[in-house]
Amino acid sequence: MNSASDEQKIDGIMPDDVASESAAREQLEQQLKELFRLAGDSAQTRQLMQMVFDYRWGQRE
Amino acid sequence: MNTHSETTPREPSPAPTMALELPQVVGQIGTLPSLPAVIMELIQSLGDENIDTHQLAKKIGSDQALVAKMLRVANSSFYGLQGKVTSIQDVVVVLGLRSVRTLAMAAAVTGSFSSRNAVPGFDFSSFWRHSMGTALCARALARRLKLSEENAFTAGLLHDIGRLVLVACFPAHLTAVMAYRNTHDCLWLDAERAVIGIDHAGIGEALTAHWKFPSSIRESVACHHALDACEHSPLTGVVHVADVIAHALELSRGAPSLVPLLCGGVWDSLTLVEKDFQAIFGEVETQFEGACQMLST
Repeated sequence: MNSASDEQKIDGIMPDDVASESAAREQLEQQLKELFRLAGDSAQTRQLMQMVFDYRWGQRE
Repeated sequence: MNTHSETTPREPSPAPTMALELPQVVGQIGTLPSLPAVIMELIQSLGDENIDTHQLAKKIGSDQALVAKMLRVANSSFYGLQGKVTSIQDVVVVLGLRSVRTLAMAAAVTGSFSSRNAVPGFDFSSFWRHSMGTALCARALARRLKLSEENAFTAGLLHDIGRLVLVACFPAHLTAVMAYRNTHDCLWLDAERAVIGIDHAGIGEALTAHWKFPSSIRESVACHHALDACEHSPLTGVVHVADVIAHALELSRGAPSLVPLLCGGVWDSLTLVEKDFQAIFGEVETQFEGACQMLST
Protein backbone atom coordinates (compact mmCIF):
# COMPACT_ATOMS: atom_id res chain seq x y z
CA MET A 1 0.00 0.00 0.00
CA ASN A 2 2.53 2.57 -1.11
CA SER A 3 1.38 6.10 -0.60
CA ALA A 4 1.25 8.30 -3.67
CA SER A 5 2.19 11.15 -1.39
CA ASP A 6 5.61 9.57 -0.83
CA GLU A 7 6.53 10.80 -4.29
CA GLN A 8 5.65 14.33 -3.32
CA LYS A 9 8.19 14.59 -0.52
CA ILE A 10 10.72 17.30 -1.28
CA ASP A 11 13.87 17.11 0.77
CA GLY A 12 11.89 15.44 3.57
CA ILE A 13 9.44 18.34 3.85
CA MET A 14 5.78 17.71 3.05
CA PRO A 15 2.97 20.25 2.75
CA ASP A 16 0.37 19.93 5.55
CA ASP A 17 -2.34 18.37 3.38
CA VAL A 18 0.07 15.82 1.94
CA ALA A 19 1.38 14.97 5.41
CA SER A 20 -2.16 14.66 6.69
CA GLU A 21 -3.14 12.36 3.83
CA SER A 22 -0.07 10.27 4.37
CA ALA A 23 -0.88 9.92 8.08
CA ALA A 24 -4.47 8.97 7.30
CA ARG A 25 -3.36 6.31 4.84
CA GLU A 26 -0.92 4.94 7.37
CA GLN A 27 -3.61 4.87 10.06
CA LEU A 28 -6.03 2.99 7.79
CA GLU A 29 -3.29 0.57 6.81
CA GLN A 30 -2.51 -0.13 10.46
CA GLN A 31 -6.20 -0.66 11.28
CA LEU A 32 -6.50 -3.22 8.51
CA LYS A 33 -3.29 -4.99 9.49
CA GLU A 34 -4.69 -5.35 13.00
CA LEU A 35 -8.01 -6.59 11.66
CA PHE A 36 -6.30 -9.15 9.41
CA ARG A 37 -3.59 -10.21 11.84
CA LEU A 38 -4.94 -13.75 12.27
CA ALA A 39 -6.15 -14.13 8.69
CA GLY A 40 -2.96 -15.72 7.36
CA ASP A 41 -0.44 -14.30 4.94
CA SER A 42 -1.59 -15.63 1.60
CA ALA A 43 -1.72 -13.77 -1.71
CA GLN A 44 -5.53 -13.97 -1.57
CA THR A 45 -5.69 -12.47 1.91
CA ARG A 46 -3.38 -9.64 0.89
CA GLN A 47 -5.55 -9.06 -2.19
CA LEU A 48 -8.68 -8.79 -0.05
CA MET A 49 -6.97 -6.47 2.41
CA GLN A 50 -5.85 -4.24 -0.46
CA MET A 51 -9.38 -4.15 -1.87
CA VAL A 52 -10.84 -3.20 1.51
CA PHE A 53 -8.16 -0.51 1.81
CA ASP A 54 -9.04 0.89 -1.62
CA TYR A 55 -12.76 0.78 -0.77
CA ARG A 56 -12.35 2.57 2.55
CA TRP A 57 -9.96 5.11 1.02
CA GLY A 58 -12.40 5.72 -1.81
CA GLN A 59 -15.16 6.41 0.74
CA ARG A 60 -12.96 9.02 2.39
CA GLU A 61 -12.36 10.93 -0.83
CA MET B 1 -19.26 -33.66 6.66
CA ASN B 2 -16.17 -33.37 8.78
CA THR B 3 -16.64 -30.36 10.99
CA HIS B 4 -13.68 -30.95 13.21
CA SER B 5 -10.89 -30.57 10.71
CA GLU B 6 -8.36 -27.88 11.28
CA THR B 7 -8.03 -24.92 8.99
CA THR B 8 -5.81 -22.89 11.27
CA PRO B 9 -2.25 -24.19 11.54
CA ARG B 10 -1.33 -24.50 15.19
CA GLU B 11 0.67 -26.54 17.64
CA PRO B 12 -0.88 -29.75 18.98
CA SER B 13 -3.00 -28.55 21.89
CA PRO B 14 -3.82 -30.13 25.23
CA ALA B 15 -7.15 -31.84 25.79
CA PRO B 16 -10.13 -29.47 26.01
CA THR B 17 -10.66 -28.26 29.57
CA MET B 18 -14.48 -28.35 29.39
CA ALA B 19 -15.06 -30.88 26.64
CA LEU B 20 -18.53 -31.10 25.15
CA GLU B 21 -19.61 -34.17 23.22
CA LEU B 22 -21.89 -33.79 20.22
CA PRO B 23 -24.61 -36.11 21.63
CA GLN B 24 -24.73 -33.87 24.72
CA VAL B 25 -25.22 -30.86 22.44
CA VAL B 26 -27.87 -32.61 20.37
CA GLY B 27 -29.71 -33.56 23.57
CA GLN B 28 -29.81 -29.94 24.72
CA ILE B 29 -30.89 -28.71 21.28
CA GLY B 30 -33.92 -30.97 21.70
CA THR B 31 -34.95 -28.95 24.75
CA LEU B 32 -34.96 -25.60 22.90
CA PRO B 33 -38.35 -24.13 21.96
CA SER B 34 -39.52 -25.36 18.55
CA LEU B 35 -39.88 -23.05 15.58
CA PRO B 36 -43.52 -22.38 14.59
CA ALA B 37 -44.99 -25.15 12.45
CA VAL B 38 -45.42 -22.82 9.48
CA ILE B 39 -41.72 -21.95 9.60
CA MET B 40 -40.78 -25.62 9.65
CA GLU B 41 -42.89 -26.05 6.53
CA LEU B 42 -41.21 -23.09 4.86
CA ILE B 43 -37.77 -24.46 5.70
CA GLN B 44 -38.60 -27.78 4.12
CA SER B 45 -39.92 -25.99 1.03
CA LEU B 46 -36.66 -24.08 0.40
CA GLY B 47 -35.80 -24.37 -3.27
CA ASP B 48 -39.36 -25.35 -4.21
CA GLU B 49 -40.76 -22.63 -6.47
CA ASN B 50 -44.15 -24.28 -6.87
CA ILE B 51 -45.69 -23.42 -3.52
CA ASP B 52 -49.23 -22.08 -3.66
CA THR B 53 -48.76 -18.48 -2.50
CA HIS B 54 -52.36 -18.21 -1.27
CA GLN B 55 -51.82 -21.26 0.92
CA LEU B 56 -48.54 -19.75 2.10
CA ALA B 57 -50.21 -16.48 3.08
CA LYS B 58 -52.98 -18.38 4.85
CA LYS B 59 -50.51 -20.45 6.84
CA ILE B 60 -48.40 -17.46 7.84
CA GLY B 61 -51.60 -15.58 8.68
CA SER B 62 -52.43 -18.17 11.32
CA ASP B 63 -49.43 -17.03 13.40
CA GLN B 64 -50.31 -13.50 14.51
CA ALA B 65 -46.97 -12.81 16.19
CA LEU B 66 -45.17 -13.76 12.98
CA VAL B 67 -47.55 -11.65 10.87
CA ALA B 68 -46.95 -8.61 13.05
CA LYS B 69 -43.19 -9.01 12.82
CA MET B 70 -43.26 -9.56 9.06
CA LEU B 71 -45.40 -6.47 8.51
CA ARG B 72 -42.98 -4.37 10.55
CA VAL B 73 -40.04 -5.68 8.53
CA ALA B 74 -41.82 -5.38 5.16
CA ASN B 75 -42.60 -1.76 6.02
CA SER B 76 -39.02 -1.02 7.10
CA SER B 77 -36.60 0.90 4.93
CA PHE B 78 -34.93 -2.36 3.80
CA TYR B 79 -37.78 -3.13 1.41
CA GLY B 80 -38.62 0.50 0.68
CA LEU B 81 -42.34 -0.06 1.25
CA GLN B 82 -42.80 2.14 4.30
CA GLY B 83 -46.40 2.00 5.45
CA LYS B 84 -47.70 0.55 2.19
CA VAL B 85 -48.13 -3.06 3.30
CA THR B 86 -50.99 -3.83 5.65
CA SER B 87 -51.70 -7.57 5.31
CA ILE B 88 -49.73 -10.74 4.84
CA GLN B 89 -51.40 -11.16 1.43
CA ASP B 90 -49.91 -7.79 0.44
CA VAL B 91 -46.48 -8.94 1.63
CA VAL B 92 -46.68 -12.06 -0.54
CA VAL B 93 -47.87 -10.13 -3.61
CA VAL B 94 -45.41 -7.26 -3.29
CA LEU B 95 -42.29 -9.12 -2.21
CA GLY B 96 -42.80 -12.45 -3.98
CA LEU B 97 -42.52 -16.00 -2.72
CA ARG B 98 -38.78 -16.21 -2.19
CA SER B 99 -38.52 -12.95 -0.26
CA VAL B 100 -41.48 -13.87 1.93
CA ARG B 101 -40.00 -17.25 2.72
CA THR B 102 -36.63 -15.69 3.58
CA LEU B 103 -38.29 -12.95 5.60
CA ALA B 104 -40.47 -15.36 7.58
CA MET B 105 -37.53 -17.61 8.38
CA ALA B 106 -35.32 -14.71 9.37
CA ALA B 107 -38.06 -13.30 11.59
CA ALA B 108 -38.62 -16.66 13.30
CA VAL B 109 -34.98 -17.65 13.68
CA THR B 110 -33.80 -14.29 15.02
CA GLY B 111 -36.66 -14.35 17.50
CA SER B 112 -36.02 -17.89 18.66
CA PHE B 113 -33.05 -17.03 20.87
CA SER B 114 -33.89 -14.50 23.52
CA SER B 115 -31.31 -11.97 24.60
CA ARG B 116 -32.82 -12.43 28.08
CA ASN B 117 -30.60 -15.52 28.27
CA ALA B 118 -27.58 -13.28 27.89
CA VAL B 119 -24.16 -14.49 28.97
CA PRO B 120 -22.03 -11.61 30.31
CA GLY B 121 -19.57 -10.60 27.61
CA PHE B 122 -21.61 -12.07 24.74
CA ASP B 123 -23.03 -9.30 22.55
CA PHE B 124 -26.28 -10.43 20.87
CA SER B 125 -26.49 -7.28 18.79
CA SER B 126 -22.98 -7.73 17.35
CA PHE B 127 -23.71 -11.39 16.71
CA TRP B 128 -26.81 -10.68 14.62
CA ARG B 129 -25.24 -7.70 12.86
CA HIS B 130 -22.35 -9.89 11.72
CA SER B 131 -24.80 -12.63 10.68
CA MET B 132 -26.88 -10.16 8.68
CA GLY B 133 -23.75 -8.72 7.06
CA THR B 134 -22.68 -12.21 6.04
CA ALA B 135 -26.19 -12.94 4.71
CA LEU B 136 -26.15 -9.80 2.54
CA CYS B 137 -22.60 -10.52 1.29
CA ALA B 138 -23.53 -14.12 0.50
CA ARG B 139 -26.60 -12.98 -1.41
CA ALA B 140 -24.57 -10.42 -3.39
CA LEU B 141 -21.94 -13.04 -4.24
CA ALA B 142 -24.60 -15.61 -5.17
CA ARG B 143 -26.28 -13.17 -7.56
CA ARG B 144 -23.02 -12.68 -9.46
CA LEU B 145 -22.27 -16.41 -9.46
CA LYS B 146 -25.80 -17.34 -10.52
CA LEU B 147 -26.47 -19.39 -7.38
CA SER B 148 -29.64 -19.33 -5.29
CA GLU B 149 -29.78 -15.93 -3.57
CA GLU B 150 -32.41 -17.21 -1.15
CA ASN B 151 -30.26 -20.12 0.02
CA ALA B 152 -27.17 -17.92 0.21
CA PHE B 153 -28.95 -15.34 2.38
CA THR B 154 -30.38 -18.02 4.68
CA ALA B 155 -27.07 -19.88 5.02
CA GLY B 156 -25.23 -16.61 5.67
CA LEU B 157 -27.72 -15.61 8.36
CA LEU B 158 -27.37 -19.01 10.07
CA HIS B 159 -23.64 -19.65 9.62
CA ASP B 160 -22.69 -18.92 13.24
CA ILE B 161 -25.98 -20.01 14.85
CA GLY B 162 -24.13 -22.69 16.84
CA ARG B 163 -22.83 -19.92 19.11
CA LEU B 164 -26.37 -19.18 20.23
CA VAL B 165 -26.77 -22.81 21.28
CA LEU B 166 -23.81 -22.25 23.58
CA VAL B 167 -25.47 -19.09 24.93
CA ALA B 168 -28.80 -20.84 25.54
CA CYS B 169 -27.64 -24.27 26.70
CA PHE B 170 -24.01 -24.09 27.79
CA PRO B 171 -23.38 -20.63 29.28
CA ALA B 172 -20.52 -21.81 31.52
CA HIS B 173 -18.75 -23.36 28.54
CA LEU B 174 -19.22 -20.17 26.53
CA THR B 175 -17.88 -18.09 29.42
CA ALA B 176 -14.78 -20.32 29.50
CA VAL B 177 -14.34 -19.92 25.72
CA MET B 178 -14.53 -16.13 26.04
CA ALA B 179 -12.05 -16.17 28.93
CA TYR B 180 -9.65 -18.28 26.85
CA ARG B 181 -9.99 -15.88 23.94
CA ASN B 182 -9.25 -12.95 26.23
CA THR B 183 -6.02 -14.53 27.41
CA HIS B 184 -4.87 -16.04 24.11
CA ASP B 185 -4.55 -14.08 20.90
CA CYS B 186 -6.83 -16.32 18.85
CA LEU B 187 -10.00 -16.58 16.82
CA TRP B 188 -13.32 -17.69 18.33
CA LEU B 189 -13.04 -20.95 16.43
CA ASP B 190 -9.68 -21.83 17.94
CA ALA B 191 -10.84 -20.87 21.44
CA GLU B 192 -13.88 -23.15 21.09
CA ARG B 193 -11.80 -26.06 19.88
CA ALA B 194 -9.28 -25.57 22.68
CA VAL B 195 -11.84 -25.27 25.50
CA ILE B 196 -14.83 -27.40 24.51
CA GLY B 197 -13.31 -29.61 21.80
CA ILE B 198 -15.97 -28.81 19.20
CA ASP B 199 -16.79 -25.56 17.45
CA HIS B 200 -19.82 -23.45 16.61
CA ALA B 201 -19.87 -24.85 13.06
CA GLY B 202 -20.41 -28.41 14.28
CA ILE B 203 -22.99 -27.24 16.82
CA GLY B 204 -24.73 -25.17 14.15
CA GLU B 205 -24.92 -28.21 11.92
CA ALA B 206 -26.69 -30.10 14.70
CA LEU B 207 -29.20 -27.26 15.15
CA THR B 208 -29.93 -26.84 11.44
CA ALA B 209 -30.39 -30.62 11.17
CA HIS B 210 -32.84 -30.45 14.11
CA TRP B 211 -34.70 -27.66 12.29
CA LYS B 212 -34.66 -29.82 9.11
CA PHE B 213 -32.93 -27.30 6.85
CA PRO B 214 -31.93 -28.67 3.43
CA SER B 215 -28.56 -30.43 3.31
CA SER B 216 -26.96 -27.61 1.27
CA ILE B 217 -27.59 -25.11 4.06
CA ARG B 218 -26.54 -27.56 6.78
CA GLU B 219 -23.29 -28.14 4.89
CA SER B 220 -22.63 -24.41 4.61
CA VAL B 221 -23.11 -23.97 8.36
CA ALA B 222 -21.00 -27.05 9.15
CA CYS B 223 -18.08 -26.39 6.80
CA HIS B 224 -17.76 -22.62 6.51
CA HIS B 225 -14.43 -22.78 8.36
CA ALA B 226 -13.27 -26.18 7.06
CA LEU B 227 -13.25 -25.93 3.30
CA ASP B 228 -9.90 -27.59 2.80
CA ALA B 229 -11.05 -30.56 4.81
CA CYS B 230 -14.34 -31.51 3.20
CA GLU B 231 -15.98 -31.76 -0.18
CA HIS B 232 -18.16 -28.71 -0.40
CA SER B 233 -20.71 -27.05 -2.62
CA PRO B 234 -20.29 -23.61 -4.25
CA LEU B 235 -22.81 -22.31 -1.67
CA THR B 236 -20.47 -23.23 1.18
CA GLY B 237 -17.62 -21.41 -0.57
CA VAL B 238 -19.83 -18.35 -0.92
CA VAL B 239 -20.73 -18.39 2.78
CA HIS B 240 -17.04 -18.76 3.72
CA VAL B 241 -16.00 -15.76 1.64
CA ALA B 242 -19.04 -13.75 2.77
CA ASP B 243 -18.10 -14.39 6.41
CA VAL B 244 -14.55 -13.20 5.78
CA ILE B 245 -15.75 -10.05 3.95
CA ALA B 246 -18.29 -9.24 6.67
CA HIS B 247 -15.47 -9.37 9.23
CA ALA B 248 -13.19 -7.32 6.97
CA LEU B 249 -15.85 -4.61 6.61
CA GLU B 250 -16.36 -4.67 10.42
CA LEU B 251 -20.11 -4.76 10.05
CA SER B 252 -20.76 -6.08 13.57
CA ARG B 253 -19.66 -2.76 15.12
CA GLY B 254 -19.02 -4.62 18.34
CA ALA B 255 -15.94 -6.14 19.88
CA PRO B 256 -12.87 -6.26 17.61
CA SER B 257 -13.89 -8.29 14.59
CA LEU B 258 -10.82 -10.26 13.55
CA VAL B 259 -10.83 -11.62 10.01
CA PRO B 260 -10.66 -15.44 9.98
CA LEU B 261 -8.40 -17.50 7.76
CA LEU B 262 -9.35 -17.18 4.09
CA CYS B 263 -9.28 -20.34 1.96
CA GLY B 264 -7.25 -19.29 -1.08
CA GLY B 265 -8.64 -22.02 -3.32
CA VAL B 266 -12.21 -20.92 -2.65
CA TRP B 267 -11.34 -17.26 -3.21
CA ASP B 268 -9.71 -18.08 -6.55
CA SER B 269 -12.65 -20.27 -7.59
CA LEU B 270 -15.07 -17.34 -7.39
CA THR B 271 -13.53 -15.84 -10.55
CA LEU B 272 -14.68 -12.36 -9.57
CA VAL B 273 -12.58 -9.29 -10.24
CA GLU B 274 -11.83 -6.30 -8.03
CA LYS B 275 -14.62 -4.27 -9.61
CA ASP B 276 -17.12 -6.94 -8.52
CA PHE B 277 -15.88 -6.93 -4.96
CA GLN B 278 -15.92 -3.13 -4.75
CA ALA B 279 -19.53 -3.21 -5.98
CA ILE B 280 -20.40 -5.91 -3.42
CA PHE B 281 -18.85 -3.91 -0.55
CA GLY B 282 -20.89 -0.86 -1.53
CA GLU B 283 -24.11 -2.82 -2.07
CA VAL B 284 -23.83 -4.57 1.29
CA GLU B 285 -23.09 -1.40 3.24
CA THR B 286 -25.97 0.41 1.56
CA GLN B 287 -28.46 -2.33 2.51
CA PHE B 288 -27.01 -3.14 5.88
CA GLU B 289 -28.67 -0.76 8.35
CA GLY B 290 -32.09 -1.28 6.79
CA ALA B 291 -31.65 -5.05 6.91
CA CYS B 292 -30.65 -4.86 10.56
CA GLN B 293 -34.10 -3.44 11.35
CA MET B 294 -35.21 -7.02 10.74
CA LEU B 295 -33.30 -7.93 13.87
CA SER B 296 -34.81 -5.31 16.15
CA THR B 297 -38.48 -5.67 15.26
